[in-house]
Amino acid sequence: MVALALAAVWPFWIQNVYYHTVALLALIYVLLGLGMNVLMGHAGLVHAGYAAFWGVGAYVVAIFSTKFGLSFWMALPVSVVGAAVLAVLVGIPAIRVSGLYFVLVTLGFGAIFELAMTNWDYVGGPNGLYGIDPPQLGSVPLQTPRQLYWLVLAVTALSVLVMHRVANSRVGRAWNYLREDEVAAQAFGVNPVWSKLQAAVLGAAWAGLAGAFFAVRQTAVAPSSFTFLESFVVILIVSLGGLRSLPGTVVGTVAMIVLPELLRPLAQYRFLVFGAAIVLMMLFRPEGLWPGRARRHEEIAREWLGSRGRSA
Amino acid sequence: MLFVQHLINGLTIGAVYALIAVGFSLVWATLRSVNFAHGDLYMLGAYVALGIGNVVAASAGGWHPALAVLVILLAAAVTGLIVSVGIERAIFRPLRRAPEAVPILATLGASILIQNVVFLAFGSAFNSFPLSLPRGPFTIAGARANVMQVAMVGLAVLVILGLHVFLGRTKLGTAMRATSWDREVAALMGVDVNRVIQVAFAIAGALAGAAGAFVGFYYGVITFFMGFLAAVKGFTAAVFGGFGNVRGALLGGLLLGVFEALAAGYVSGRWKDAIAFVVLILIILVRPTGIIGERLPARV
Amino acid sequence: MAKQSIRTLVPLSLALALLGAACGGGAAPAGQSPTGPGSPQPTGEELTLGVMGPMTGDYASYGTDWQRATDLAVKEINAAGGCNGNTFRTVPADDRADPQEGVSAANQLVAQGIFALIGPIFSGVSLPVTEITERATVPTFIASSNPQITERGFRTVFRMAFRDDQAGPFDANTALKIMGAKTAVVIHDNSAFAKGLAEEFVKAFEAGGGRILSVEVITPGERDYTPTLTKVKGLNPDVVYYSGYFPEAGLLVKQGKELGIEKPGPGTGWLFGNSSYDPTFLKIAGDAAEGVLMGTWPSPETDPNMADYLNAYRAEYNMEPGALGHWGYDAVYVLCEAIKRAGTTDRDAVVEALHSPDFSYEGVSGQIKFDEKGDRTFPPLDVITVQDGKFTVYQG
Repeated sequence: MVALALAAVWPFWIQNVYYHTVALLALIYVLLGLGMNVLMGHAGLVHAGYAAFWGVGAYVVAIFSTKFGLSFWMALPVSVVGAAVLAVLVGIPAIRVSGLYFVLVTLGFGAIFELAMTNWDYVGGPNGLYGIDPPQLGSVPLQTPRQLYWLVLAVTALSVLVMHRVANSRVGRAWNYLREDEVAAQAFGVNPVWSKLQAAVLGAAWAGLAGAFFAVRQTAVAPSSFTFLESFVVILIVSLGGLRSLPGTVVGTVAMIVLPELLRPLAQYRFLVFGAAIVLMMLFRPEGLWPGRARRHEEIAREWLGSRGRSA
Repeated sequence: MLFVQHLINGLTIGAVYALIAVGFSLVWATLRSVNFAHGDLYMLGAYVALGIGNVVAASAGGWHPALAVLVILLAAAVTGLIVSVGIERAIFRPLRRAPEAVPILATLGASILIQNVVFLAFGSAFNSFPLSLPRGPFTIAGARANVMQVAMVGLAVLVILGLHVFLGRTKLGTAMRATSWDREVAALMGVDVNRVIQVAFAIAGALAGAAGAFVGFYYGVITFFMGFLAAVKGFTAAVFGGFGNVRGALLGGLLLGVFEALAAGYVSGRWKDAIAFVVLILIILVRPTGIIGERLPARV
Repeated sequence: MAKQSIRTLVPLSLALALLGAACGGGAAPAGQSPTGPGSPQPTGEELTLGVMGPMTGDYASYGTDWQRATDLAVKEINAAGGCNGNTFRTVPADDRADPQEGVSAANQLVAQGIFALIGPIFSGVSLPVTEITERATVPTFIASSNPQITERGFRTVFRMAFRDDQAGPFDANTALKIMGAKTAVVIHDNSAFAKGLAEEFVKAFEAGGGRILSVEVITPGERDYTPTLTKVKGLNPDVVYYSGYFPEAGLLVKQGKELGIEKPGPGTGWLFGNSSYDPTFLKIAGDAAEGVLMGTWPSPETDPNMADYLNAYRAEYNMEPGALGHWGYDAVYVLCEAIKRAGTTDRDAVVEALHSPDFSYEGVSGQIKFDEKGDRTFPPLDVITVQDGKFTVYQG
């Protein structure tokens, strides 16, 4: 709580806009990480087309603002629902294949999204859309990075609470059981397709949410922001930080988003150091920098059976 | 006539895809993992070609073209081999028991690292190959081709089919298939699993390096980031043919090349890549074993 | 339940604080306090210029060349006593040709109190970055060609390059008048720049009575474009126009020749946009480049100013200049000229001086004047060709 308060008040002392911008971008990636954590951490789905959901969120806000002059707050729910609907459409075929094949199908889907946006002239093709209006709070436009930072900080805090509740809900326990032992989980009444689809929808919805804020931060969206490398950045965030660990997601974001910014003074050596850092972190902390609690198989099974009994 | 030309175009680039795809397949077969830096071995091969090309261009008498090509291909293959084995030792071996995503993501870091080392060492410019090697153009059924293309496709087919036969007949091949089937059981049966995996990486690296060298001197443009797109294509080809299968990688590579050529020729280059991905997804959903390939264990 | 959520939230909050601390505390070059819009600075000062472009990543060759060219101009100006006694200092900023990176870098530069920004290069980056520099009244000299960048009523954006809707019609005219073409195939690489230029070419070529047989798209970074070229051969157009960058341009013309795409007459059937004008094009294409046409800026062969720049660059860095650097070089001199004319380093006054109808500067890329939008009024364009392995001005 104290730290959350700290996260909220430091921009009062540090006026430098650049730090606000970086912190805002980091928060957006924390939102993305929270969604990916549901997919990858809980449901075990390595979704390599994740950037497409984020892209849908961003493009919806961009189209609402630049084509129809509609407000951010009207676009936001459409962003979230749009990403979720797309997740269902992709998820229904993709969830049936396992492991690497799921990665490949979603990778292909992500690439198709990027190509479609590049070739679709209505959304500006490779140029994308620009001149997106800032969100209004009452009559005040939230325009500076600091104002947006506070808005996204509030959304992130709320998201963390929601994610925590979901992870400990019946749905969350079903994911955990399924991930640990698919056969046993099915025997005890978990519908694998339905359960994974729930994870995909929730993860995508958060990506859509993050995409909406990304669009107003950039004031412009273009297909190049949603390549499948961006999906891997988010996968790296949750892996470096530690799966199923909310603080891990934050730590992972610091490593993947803030670190390259801190390395800016290295100029051309920046990505050399960054690449080496990824290798070293993976070699020395394969379980992540701040991993979630390791749990025994029986515990997970008992939790699921407990929640099932309770609801019956 | 144009159709024959499309076939020739497709087979040439398909041979390159196949050589990269074999590496992905071998690594997958022995380790059930993916080396993201595989495309960078190909890039390193191209830079070796550039380096030797510069030496040859500077030497007074000049070399016989066939000798130059041979030396370049061999040197690039050796470079790819060394770096590939190095990646296995530095990343995959220590992380053998880590969750499957961990070593894969570590190789993504390695890929960024290798690219930036080359970027800092050789600069960001687009390098052009310094030698103009004779190509020996000829016409067949109204379409144009050259000896270099024939050599490349022939070499890829021979090397990959040779590898297939080799793996089918030798003890090493049997050990590799045993490792592919179940690593732990293979180890219990006395297979030196680490050695098998190392050989797989060595072959993968050598073929990627040679492919990079060919692209370097045949097409003549060499950049530090050329490995990424090549890896995407090679990976797709491996899936087309059936992952973890050497013969499938050859077929997948050539088919992907021809398929892309026909899509660009008769549909539109604008949608060529999107069409390739749609077909890829359909293949996985309908026939996850690829065009040829054995069904993989459900848990991967 | 409550207890457990506290257990999770405590480390999380700590992590969030860490995030804040990492952003707030550690970041390197000690940020000077932000300078307000147009705040006056005393003369005789050292003015900081941000230099933005892709310094790493796939397009690093453009950004590093851009930086070298601006550094060269700054060095020359400082050695000659500066602008009204003010000297320049450059701070490079890497945008990786990525809008997201560009926004971060621009905010950092503005927070550092830069006097002006030289760059960005890529249109996709320039669009959001100029929103930031416009708000902070930082004069920004871009090398991007997307027409919309200067259509937003911004006062601080100055375009050193052509607009697509200037270069496209120029090239279409070359195809129609010089090459006598009735039909054309247009190829681009789906980048924001090349697609925009291709579309302007198509519009002007059709308006001039020509017929576009097909618009083809290639993927940059691939090495084999024979599939697309085979299709082009089948269509048999009078002219093939490529609007993208030089590496692909070189491969296209080389592989096209091997497939037998060659026409008698000016251009041998090939016309290229201005981003193909790079010495590497000649190296990649080899013999196949002979006789092709390009629409581009004055060549060093005709313009002594350009030759002086190229020689100074070679002398300073011992390497060949890249394709865009001369605009960055000119931008520094243009800024210097504006400071001299304004007689002050007040940024509002400098911006006014640049917009003034009297403003004119003879740069290495020709005469430089800006209209009220910030576009150059006399974009200098030439038709050049390749003769004996060298670029030379086309004489019809």
